[in-house]
Amino acid sequence: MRRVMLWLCAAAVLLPVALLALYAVCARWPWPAPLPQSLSLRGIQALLNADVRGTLLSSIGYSLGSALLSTLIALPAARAISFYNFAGKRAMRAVLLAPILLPSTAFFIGLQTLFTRLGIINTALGVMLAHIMVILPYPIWTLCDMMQSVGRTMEEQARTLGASPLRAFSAVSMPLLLPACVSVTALGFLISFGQYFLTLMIGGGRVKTFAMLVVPYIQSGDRMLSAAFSFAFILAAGTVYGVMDAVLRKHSGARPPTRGSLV
Amino acid sequence: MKRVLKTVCAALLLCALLLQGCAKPKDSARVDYADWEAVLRAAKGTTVTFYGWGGSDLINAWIDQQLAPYCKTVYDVTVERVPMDIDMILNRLIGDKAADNAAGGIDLIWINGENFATAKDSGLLFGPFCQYVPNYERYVDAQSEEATLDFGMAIEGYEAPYSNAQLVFSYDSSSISAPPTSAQALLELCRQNPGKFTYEAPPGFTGSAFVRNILNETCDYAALAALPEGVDDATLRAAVQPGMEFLRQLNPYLWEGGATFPATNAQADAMFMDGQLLFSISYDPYHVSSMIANGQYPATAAAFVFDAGTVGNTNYVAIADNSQNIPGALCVADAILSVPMQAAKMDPSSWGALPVLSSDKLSQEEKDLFSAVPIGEGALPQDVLLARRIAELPAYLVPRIEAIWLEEVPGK
Repeated sequence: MRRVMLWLCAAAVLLPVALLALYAVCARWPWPAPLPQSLSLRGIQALLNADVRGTLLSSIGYSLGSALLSTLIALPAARAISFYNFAGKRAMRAVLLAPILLPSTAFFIGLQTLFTRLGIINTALGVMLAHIMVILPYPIWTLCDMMQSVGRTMEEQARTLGASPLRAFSAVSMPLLLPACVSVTALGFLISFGQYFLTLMIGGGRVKTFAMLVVPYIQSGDRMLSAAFSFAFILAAGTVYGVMDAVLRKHSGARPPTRGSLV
Repeated sequence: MKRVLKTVCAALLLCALLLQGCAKPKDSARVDYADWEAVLRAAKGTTVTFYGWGGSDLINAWIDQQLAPYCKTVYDVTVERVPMDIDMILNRLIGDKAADNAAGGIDLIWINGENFATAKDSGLLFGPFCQYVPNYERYVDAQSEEATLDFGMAIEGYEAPYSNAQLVFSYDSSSISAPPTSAQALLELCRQNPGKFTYEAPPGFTGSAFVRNILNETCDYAALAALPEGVDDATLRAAVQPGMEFLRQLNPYLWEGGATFPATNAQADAMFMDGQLLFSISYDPYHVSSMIANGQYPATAAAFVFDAGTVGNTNYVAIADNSQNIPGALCVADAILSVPMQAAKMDPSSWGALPVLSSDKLSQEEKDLFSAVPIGEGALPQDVLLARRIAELPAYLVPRIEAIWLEEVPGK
């Protein structure tokens, strides 16, 4: 029974992707013909264009960069929210959630005006900063939970044994937090990789990401090109996610004993 | 924590400001645009951003693989195509203006109709500039309607012609023997084949043009075109009433009984390819031959237009008022109006757009270049199209007619 459910789930995910791959090469498929009437490599050729490949690579670069920076910023933020009390902590939590709660158009227009004044409109830096703002709530909240469940007791033990605060954190807490860091970075990557509207508003079309190539074809309804580009989009996102997941697995194999076994 | 975040942000912003300060754009303010040699010198080695709709791979490829290399060879200007919908382009220009950003990233814009009217009225465009462009002077008939009026809006040199488009219908000769030659005949055919026709929902570009095409046959089109800006609602409604009545009559025989319409023209076109619809509509005059050539239409597909004509428009390129590279943008506008580029653009395998150059101003060799372009299978030749071309209604009427359609046609 469980196996049947598993197969059903797999089919529900894989069939649409397979159909996408098929549409990427089929030019005409009139109803009710069971098979496509003519195939074409137009979609694949458009994908193999050197500009498209360059855009895909730089897009992966922007998204990985934004995701890594987000995790780096989120780590101390989550620690502060989890373990310290400071004035305005509740307000801070609300502010950190704002990019998710505010209507995104309003948020984006504000960012556009601000970045124009700052002179970072139409730059990769501006786009990455904007992406980081959109990503941040997710790693912060995930890492907050993780920090609280890891706790500080083990770190305090290390401190009583004479380790410096930095060493106590890096040798004791960090290894326990690392798997969570890798997953939130992967999540951040996916959020950034899928941004279209924000990238267009801040990057002004000058900073080209893969989403900006895909969406016009989907909007204009060119089935073959949108299928081919969407398939490549899924493939690229999946590959990066898969690599991160593999890193995580490799790491968790050599993970130090969990908290439960220590106590 | 707060302090850390603040410091990081401040540091990043500082870096950005420094970087921005280093990358000073070429000073184009001092060029005398009337001196073409000076424009060429100022444009040499620069990059021009060309903003426009990016939803057609054919058009994208034409810009990337034909226009861009031509500009590089002839003017040493690099063309960077930026795919962006016109609403968004206008938003950015308005945003730049609001933020007093005199250094915009947008140089050349693909534009026409009500968007041009909006941009020109809001002072977002540089101009008049057409008189600076040598190929405009050489090949464009400046007195012609397409060079003076864009959807009824005075151009006054603020945009240079890019392409001519005309609405054409496609049908498959293996499923119907003779295409309808009038709106009435179309209604008759739909009545015999219920559920086999639909059109893109206005304000979609093509669907909206189809509706105006129906108005041409059912209403007093000349009187409609003469309605002034700010005409009251009742007068406009009365003027388009026969057309809306006709479309309501058509409704029950449409796909989904006319209760709903495809959101994009490409969706309707895909339904035609899949054999769900008998006709498809396109504003690209050589759409049929392009589609036969890439295997999406069957070889038996062909184009037709109504005997009373179909609407045609011209689309243009304009230059942003805060462009940092006006000399470069002028060069690209010049390239677009060159004979080799207009002829290349006419080829359905690379785009299939009608040229905008005046044939009276072309030499015999230049004319031969155009007549040598193979228009492919199924398409109507240029002279047939031009003989059945009707002008677009004024831009200010278009959104109002679209609103009336939305109120009075779907599901009625």
